[in-house]
Amino acid sequence: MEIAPQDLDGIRELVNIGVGKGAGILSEMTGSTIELTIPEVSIYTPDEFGQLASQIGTERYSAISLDFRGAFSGMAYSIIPADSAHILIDAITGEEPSDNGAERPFTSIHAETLKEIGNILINGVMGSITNVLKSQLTYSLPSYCEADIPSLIQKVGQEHREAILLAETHMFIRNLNIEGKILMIMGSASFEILVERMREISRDSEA
Amino acid sequence: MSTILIIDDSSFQRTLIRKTLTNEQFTCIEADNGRLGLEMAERESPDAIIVDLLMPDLNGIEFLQAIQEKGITIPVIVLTSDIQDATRDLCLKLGARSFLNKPLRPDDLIPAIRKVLEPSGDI
Repeated sequence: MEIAPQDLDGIRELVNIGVGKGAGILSEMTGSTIELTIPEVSIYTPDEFGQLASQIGTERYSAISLDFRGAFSGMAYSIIPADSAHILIDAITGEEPSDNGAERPFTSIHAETLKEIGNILINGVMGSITNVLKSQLTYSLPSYCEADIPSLIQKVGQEHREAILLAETHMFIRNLNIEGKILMIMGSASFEILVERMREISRDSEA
Repeated sequence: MSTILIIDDSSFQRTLIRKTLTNEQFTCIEADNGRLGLEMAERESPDAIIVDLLMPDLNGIEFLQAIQEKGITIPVIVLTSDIQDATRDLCLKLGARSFLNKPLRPDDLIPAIRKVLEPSGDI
């Protein structure tokens, strides 16, 4: 399938709508203003993707992932720097931070809380997209891990790696000084379905 | 006072829901998956059920189907992260009396609970 610039622009707008919804949810949960960047949408071959991963750096992130299947399939990540995880959890649970801050142990309860936050956020993003497309997805249970971005990318299933759509956006939680990212990764087959569905919606709206 | 069964695999969410409900004098019982939730619904006969969708061991959709098949008429409120219109439609079709999205908003949940506890109360 030939991908025209307007297709990528359409996907960028779609992701923008989803991230806007996600940011609204995160703002409600944290009581903070969320600043967003315009999503970057790119298509990579597996080789290019591997090179990209090696260039991204090795900062460690707390990452929540969800697989999605249905009208199209792929993987979505919600990630924040690992040393910001306690700050976000404290803001949402209302717990008072202790003096030693980031040195506190990260327990399974903390991981579970973060997993639920990421789950709500990713569902907000993906659900907005499918509502626009009048489609439906089913999701896996969320998983939590701590890793750098190259390692996260390595976890993406082979089925999504023939040609890869990477949609990336940054969310800055102003009061907490935390910058997070949403990554959405899809293989070529799903990407083509997504583009075709968008073109249908566009044609319907013009009719 | 009414007893509410909370079914959610996240203890974080169950805690939030329990605190919200106990503040309003409801009694809560909890299950961390749909299968256990179904057993408790049959055994404990709560006055209403709050169920998540994405869970291990019988997800929320399967739970709704199961209670429909068993003829259990306890009102069910779905409380989920899934904001998809199609999911909402499916849940209502499967007999859910209300469909709410996370994050939990007490101002939405409490009226929804009170409404379904009324005789023939629908949202």
